[in-house]
Amino acid sequence: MKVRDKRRHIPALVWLLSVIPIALVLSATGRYLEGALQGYFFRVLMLSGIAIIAAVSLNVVNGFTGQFSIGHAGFMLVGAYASAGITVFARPHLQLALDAAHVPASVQPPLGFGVALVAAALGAAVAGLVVGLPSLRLRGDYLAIATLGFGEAIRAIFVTIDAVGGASGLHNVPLDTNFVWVFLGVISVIVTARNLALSTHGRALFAIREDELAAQAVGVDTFRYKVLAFVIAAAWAGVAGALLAHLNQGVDPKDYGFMKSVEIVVMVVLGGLGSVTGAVIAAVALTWLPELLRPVQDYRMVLYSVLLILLMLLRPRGLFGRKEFSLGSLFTFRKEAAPPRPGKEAG
Amino acid sequence: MLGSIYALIALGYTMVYGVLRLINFAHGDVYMVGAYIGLYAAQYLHLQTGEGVLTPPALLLILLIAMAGAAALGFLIERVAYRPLRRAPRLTALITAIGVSMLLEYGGQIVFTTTPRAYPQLAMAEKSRALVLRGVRIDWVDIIILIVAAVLLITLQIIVHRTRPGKAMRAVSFDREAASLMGINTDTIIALTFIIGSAFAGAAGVLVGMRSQSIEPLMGLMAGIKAFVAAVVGGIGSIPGAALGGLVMGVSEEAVHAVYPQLTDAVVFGILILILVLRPRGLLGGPAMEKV
Amino acid sequence: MALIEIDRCTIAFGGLIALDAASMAVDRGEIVGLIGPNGAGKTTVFNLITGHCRPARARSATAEVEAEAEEQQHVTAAVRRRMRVHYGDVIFHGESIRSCQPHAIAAKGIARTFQNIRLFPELSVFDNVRAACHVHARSSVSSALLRTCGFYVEEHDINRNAVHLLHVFELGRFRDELARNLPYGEQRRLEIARALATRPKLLLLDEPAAGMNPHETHELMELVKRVRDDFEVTIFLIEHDMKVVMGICERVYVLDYGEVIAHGSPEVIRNDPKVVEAYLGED
Repeated sequence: MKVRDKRRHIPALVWLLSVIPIALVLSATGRYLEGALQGYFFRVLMLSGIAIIAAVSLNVVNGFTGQFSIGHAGFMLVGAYASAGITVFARPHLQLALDAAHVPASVQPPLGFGVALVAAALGAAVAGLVVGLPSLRLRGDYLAIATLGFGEAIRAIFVTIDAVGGASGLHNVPLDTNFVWVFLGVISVIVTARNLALSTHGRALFAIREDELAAQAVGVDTFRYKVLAFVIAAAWAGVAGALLAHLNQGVDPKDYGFMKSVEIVVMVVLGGLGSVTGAVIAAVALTWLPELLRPVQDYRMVLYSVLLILLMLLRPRGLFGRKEFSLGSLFTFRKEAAPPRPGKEAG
Repeated sequence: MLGSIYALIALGYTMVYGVLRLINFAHGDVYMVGAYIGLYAAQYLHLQTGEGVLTPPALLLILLIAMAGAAALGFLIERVAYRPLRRAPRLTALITAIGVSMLLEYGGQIVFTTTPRAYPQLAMAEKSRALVLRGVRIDWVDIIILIVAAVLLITLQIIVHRTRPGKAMRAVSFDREAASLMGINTDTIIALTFIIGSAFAGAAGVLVGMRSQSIEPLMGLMAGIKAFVAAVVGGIGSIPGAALGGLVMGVSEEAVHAVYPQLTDAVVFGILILILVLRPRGLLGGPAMEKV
Repeated sequence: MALIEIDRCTIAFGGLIALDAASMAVDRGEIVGLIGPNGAGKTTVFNLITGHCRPARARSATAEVEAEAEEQQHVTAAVRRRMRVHYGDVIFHGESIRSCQPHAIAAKGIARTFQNIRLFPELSVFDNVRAACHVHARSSVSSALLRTCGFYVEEHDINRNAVHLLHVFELGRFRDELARNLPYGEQRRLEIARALATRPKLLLLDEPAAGMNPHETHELMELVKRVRDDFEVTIFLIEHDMKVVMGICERVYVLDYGEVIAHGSPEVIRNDPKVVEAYLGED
């Protein structure tokens, strides 16, 4: 019997060298789209991308590993504040450092934002560790409660810190988010999720989801892997939060509460727990849905909730069910070859 | 006081979790609807006197109507939204619960309008006529609340421990399949659980309305979360636990509010986390182990 | 030296004593059976070995103290004081594994199957086995995320091992089938195959012949012997089916109410009056 994975693998060097031309193409596309689309559509496009990052990352915990995390927005908030901290407070210092390193002025803003994003990911990852270590010892529903509690606690704590704006949040955050960053974020989160799933580590996560006891019996350190998945997901959530903050040009703690966590969980469940394709589609659909319902402004949220209930009743397993990754991933990759187009209808 | 309100609402959470292992997010909103039912009952039945005040018998009537209405709502929700999902993955049912909660909240905003409504007061409840016990002022309202809550709690204890349906409820919460094999109609029992829990929440709604003198459609949100925390603190699935949890939460919240108003929310969740880390089953909860 | 030794372990759940100062040993290369009436504590022994429960403190007495206790017909305080308190222990390969976590014990080379088959239901047969190969994987998560050469090499090895195992257990044609769709006999075989993917030195089989007809049972017996010979594992198995026990076990331990009441070759224990009494009417 032949082994399946005998394809030619593109060496990492080729990827690296193609970064520059790709970056140029992307930023050109971005500028075109920004100009061609109305500001409103463009914004929703950005929001979809951010939603995809949040949903796919949460899918790693809830879908791959089968855990109940419903406090994801808390990590987004940490990322938002961390990145904003850099771009708002540390900007002058950063500028000095970059000048000293002879970095040309045109490259500085994106580089600065890149640093901010890294800070966001790291900060959120640390938060993920702090939350995950105690919580992941708990069984099912208790874990859900714990993550919910932590998510709200994070928000409650930030609200009391006046240095970052307290209850009204941080203002004057620069508009650093653009098509390039969001696109890169979306692509990397999808690639990360896919690479994780199609690896022995991914199988360890699936094993935990299927039967934690049996997973332990075959040598999987379940606690360590749960924490790993949790921290990775948190880091990505941080990136999503940073992108959102720099799109809204501010961090408003109210945007990152339980309702936001719920939105993301809904995307993951709707798409089908464990399916990256599903998470992407659901994220886009659920970002566009409230916008499409704008004409019926007043009844918007009511319709949204009714639709939600109906969808759960009719397809409890989500749109893509628990499609096992080895087949689904091929489709995922082909579908995502084209960047998300504007005006995508509800899935 | 606040604790008894939380206790009443927490009971609903804990009971539903006990039989269904479901966290009924919509419960806080049932409480809100109960409050509004009481309001409309008072208005349309002309139970208020000229100054918008109720007499005790009128209060009783309103309570009963609100409880009945809330119970009906709870029953409806269970039937339509939760029953079909009995066998679905738990996260799905959770999302549905959230959906129902949102529906009630946003629907409420449309039907009841977002402006807060004034709530009828209890005769005798004017602040000037409060009791003064050793320098601590206790409003009549709080006393009434305490009494009502106590009566309801005692009634519940009797139902759960002394009647057959109560015994059935306990059986279902232990092992649903075994209970059905023993001839217990699980659907009926689950419906009953929702009815009782929702009725209590409705009562809580009326009482809170009376106390804070105004209600609005989003009141269920925060109260629901805090009551839920109370249920967890006391041990989710345990009825006396819900009562105890409610007390703990109410007291801590009032204490913190007096000293550090900003931190009230943080403290609420801090307590939750503390309990989950140190004693996940809650103060009175049962063991949480899995059989190999 | 025995491959694995259980040294006077006591396990109690609340007031119920599941194991009462039980001692057993299995030597390398043996096939040893564990039998006893239902509730005797057999699965508890397995759970003890795999780290799902920890042995409690117990009192043990030397022979003279025991004699004294019998003389006085009950254990006085004085006698009790002279009884030693010790923790039971589980020694594998000369190393105490009493306080190890289940996954660490699996990594050390002890694999098991479960009484109620515990496969990964929504994963394919292939992935079930590959998941068990993970324990010996050395590549890091970052190498998986970045798809380094090392990662591909290891994936290739894992795939090769898994394919080989499926072939040996004749599960090749079910390779992409979901584990939960497999017929019962194949599921049992898959569980054993998966256990072997962890390259164990000791394999614990919990009622492998449960629910099988005589033909399947015979095939299973052949399979177990082949596994022991070809994979060089030591086998410790729980069984109710006496044909299996008599047929392939070289030694047998008999458990009743948590105590080892008899131990020896199948013929010896079959005629042991205590064993017959314990089973009274069963089998």
